[in-house]
Amino acid sequence: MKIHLCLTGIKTIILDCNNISQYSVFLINSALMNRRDIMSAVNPDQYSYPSVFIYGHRATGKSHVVLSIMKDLELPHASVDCVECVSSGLLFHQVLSAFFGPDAAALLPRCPSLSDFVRLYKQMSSNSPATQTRYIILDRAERMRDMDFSLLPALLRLQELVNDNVTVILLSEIVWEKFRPNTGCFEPLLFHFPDYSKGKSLVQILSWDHHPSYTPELYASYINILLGVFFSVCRDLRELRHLAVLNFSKFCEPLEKGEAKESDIHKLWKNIEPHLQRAMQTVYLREVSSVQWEQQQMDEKEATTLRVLSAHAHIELPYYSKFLLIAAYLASFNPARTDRRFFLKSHGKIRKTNFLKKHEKTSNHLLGPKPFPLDRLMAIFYSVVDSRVAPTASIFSQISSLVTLQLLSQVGHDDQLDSPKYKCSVSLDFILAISRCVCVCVRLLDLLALSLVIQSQVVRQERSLFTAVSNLHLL
Amino acid sequence: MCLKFYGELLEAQNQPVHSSVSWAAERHLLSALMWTPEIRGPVAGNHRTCTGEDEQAEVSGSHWSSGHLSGSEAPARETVSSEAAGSACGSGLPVQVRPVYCLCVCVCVVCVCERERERERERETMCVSVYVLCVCLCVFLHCVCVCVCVCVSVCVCVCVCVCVCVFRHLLELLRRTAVHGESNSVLIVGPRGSGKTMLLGCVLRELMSLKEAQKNVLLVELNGLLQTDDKIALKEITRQLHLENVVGDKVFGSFAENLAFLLEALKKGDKSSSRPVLFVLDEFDLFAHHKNQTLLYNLLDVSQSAQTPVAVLGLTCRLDVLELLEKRVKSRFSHRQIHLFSSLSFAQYLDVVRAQLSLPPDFPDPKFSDEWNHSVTKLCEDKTVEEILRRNFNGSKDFRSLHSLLFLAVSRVSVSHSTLREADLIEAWRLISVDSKANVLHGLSILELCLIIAMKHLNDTYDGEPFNFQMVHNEFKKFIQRKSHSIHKFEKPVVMKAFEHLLQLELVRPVDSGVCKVQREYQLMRLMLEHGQVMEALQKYPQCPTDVKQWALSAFG
Repeated sequence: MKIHLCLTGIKTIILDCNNISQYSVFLINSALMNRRDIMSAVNPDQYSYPSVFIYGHRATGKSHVVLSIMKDLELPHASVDCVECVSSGLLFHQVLSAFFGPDAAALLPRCPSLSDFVRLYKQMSSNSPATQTRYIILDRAERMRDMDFSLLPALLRLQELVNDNVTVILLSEIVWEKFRPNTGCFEPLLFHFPDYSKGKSLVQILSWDHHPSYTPELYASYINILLGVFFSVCRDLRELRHLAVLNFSKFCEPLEKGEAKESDIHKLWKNIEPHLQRAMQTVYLREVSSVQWEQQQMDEKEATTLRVLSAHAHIELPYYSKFLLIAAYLASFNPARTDRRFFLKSHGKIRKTNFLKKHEKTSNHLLGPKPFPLDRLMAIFYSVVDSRVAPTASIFSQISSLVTLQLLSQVGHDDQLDSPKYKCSVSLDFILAISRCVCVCVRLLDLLALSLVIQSQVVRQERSLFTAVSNLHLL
Repeated sequence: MCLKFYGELLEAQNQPVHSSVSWAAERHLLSALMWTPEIRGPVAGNHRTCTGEDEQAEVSGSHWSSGHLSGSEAPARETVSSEAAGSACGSGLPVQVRPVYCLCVCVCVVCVCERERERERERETMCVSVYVLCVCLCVFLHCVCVCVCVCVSVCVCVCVCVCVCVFRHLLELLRRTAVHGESNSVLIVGPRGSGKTMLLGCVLRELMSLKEAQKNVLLVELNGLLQTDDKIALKEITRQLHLENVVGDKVFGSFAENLAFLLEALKKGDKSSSRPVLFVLDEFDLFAHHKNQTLLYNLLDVSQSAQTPVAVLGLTCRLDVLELLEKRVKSRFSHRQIHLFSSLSFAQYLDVVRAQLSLPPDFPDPKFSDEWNHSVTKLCEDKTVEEILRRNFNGSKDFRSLHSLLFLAVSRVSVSHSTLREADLIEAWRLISVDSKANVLHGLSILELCLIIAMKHLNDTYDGEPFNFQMVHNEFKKFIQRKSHSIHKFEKPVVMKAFEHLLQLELVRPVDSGVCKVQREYQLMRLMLEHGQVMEALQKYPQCPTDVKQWALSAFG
């Protein structure tokens, strides 16, 4: 994958498509230019702005622009990705070795504090004074908030602390307001890298990596089709490029077979559209890996099996575990008061009015599962399972293995032995998938459906599922 | 940036570019804008190298700080500066007022001289009383309008005096420690950017210029951000006092050993023979969070007893800093606090802007400098510019925000327009005042925007109660089924992915961030956006479908 965009390209794109980026590029550029010209000649008592904060969405070219400027102008800079820095010591190490060589970094003690870093920096910079502004570039700066609390405010005013001509550039996706500590700090200069507009820049950038054996126009029209499907969901350039590369061979299939010409855009569109829709549900969600997806494209017939494989519903469970899970689901999503009605053969007369209390009317499908005691689970389990089951150790051990698999979750402390409480933590789709493969038992489907009817007074989707379930029933 | 354009300008006029000329221009403007006082002049360490020329440059470069700066010079110069401040104000007065005004200035000067001899508080009251007297005199002698003029000048003088007072007060305090060996402790409290560090820097520079203090005083500078616990702080103190050799191998010994050694060293001394130590604690409030406040307790304890003379100077932006101290620590503190609040009026603020943007009279290219300065003066008189500056002023009086505004404005200057224009400042203001969350919302996909609208509706319906993904999805589905023509139905996992992106951007935040076993879709969330922000973002959103807009505008769902 040639993710790397050429510098000139992205610069021109940014310069063309909006002023602000142009402006920021210009600003950084010119600010740096000056210093290079002047600083080598004159003693550097002129300082640049202590800290700059650049924010913008993912893949808008923040780090790329900044780093290529640094590279082009050969400025002394230390570029650190904060994801890599599990401790602040690593950060200090990288900065010092970038500025003063690895020897300086070796002087840091084993668990360096900020104080050590500043002391060493001072010492080193007095030995080799800055001829031009030094730049510390911190990518994904939001990670710094999780590190030492004083790290961020200290870095923002590092210039003052080390008394050296140094500028800290922070890059992040998140807005500056989320960074500001409680007692405030030095306010950096803020710059925004705007997102790409669909019409101009996004199509243009994506069209760059067109296939050599096809015309750029064809690729551009392909990109337009791709954006038609994905643009309303995702604007991440990297993700879109990935998808574009993955699906292009499928797009070209009719051309290779000779079923269509390059001008038959409509035909090509008809061919690729359902395919892209499928990609959105699988590859885009990372349910299948790119390799699997490519394989699937090779062999269309296997696609269906792969699709099932990809669904998270595919878990092989013991027979009774499935019933236990279904029982847990029913217990979690139905009020305890309704158990009598659902699970007893002679439940007496049903009063229509005030069957459900007011707070029970908001569906549990919105609020999430409720915890239930073990006794209730077992009671429902017995009534759901078609044969008689003895409460043996194997049943109980299956419950705990369900907890281990995180299909159930235990509420409260683990050491509560007498009446542990559980919650069902799987979705309705999962349960339906399970009941489909277990159920010959009509009554169970009935029960599921019945509980759904009650729940679905609010939620419409469940009603449609109910019809699906009753269809199954008919089958 | 100015330099670049300036160089190009000269080249365009076919003149040789004198690097010195252009450099001077660049230097002046940039230093005026990026003016961080602590670092401009050489600070601690080599105070003596600071020449008179530097100080002069500072005075001319920044009019606003005349209070602080005049203080930083010798007492003789102080009178000059206050006079200068007065004359800056008086030059605009009608001719017949001048004598009265001069009288007033004289009184001020006398007063300032007077203050040299008097003690602080008495001095201040006396200052004011003299001014009042002066005003009364004017009323008696002349018409009302003259009186008003005098009042204005008096205000300026009082303002200057207050700054100077603080400065003198602090200097006197430190001088007593440095020269007479009296221990002291003081807190300087003021909001961020109010000039605490700068004040201290000036005072220290002044102090170090005294002969008797220079050789004598030991300075220890600590910062709450750097010395995050007492152990590190202690090491740093040992280092700054150059005691590593004396301690020998004990320097990286245990905390207790270190502390005992240091206290021993401090206790051994007495008022007359030992060298005084100044402890500067920047971000004082952070030291109060250290365990048991050991360091603060010991420092203040030493400052209370007749041991080695010690001055403890705390700088903080927390007004309630005393509440943070333990009882035993608080009782050892002298309760001397210096509050720095900006009492700047808008007229003064405008003067500062003008002074900061103007090129100095000794600028090598007088023609350009005249042109530039003229344009700056014109700019400051402009109504829209004044409005922008006033808004910035109302937002915060601190000069850092002004600097970033002017920085952005000046960086827009180029060869094609070589003077600062109104449009530049407007553009800079637009950049500064833009809501960053609106910027982020602008780059979201339609699906994510729809989710935000759904959350907004949930917020409206349930009165700000937290919601979970399931509710949001439900709301979104209702919209899709009822009204939407432009938005397709998405699978739930796709919507979930969009929701998680919002979570990642921190536009949505979990109610309890602690570990909990709740499934992702049922975890309770809050929207971190205002109603207005959402609506505004929707207006600006490129190619926003009409039905989505309608949905957002509709009252409930």
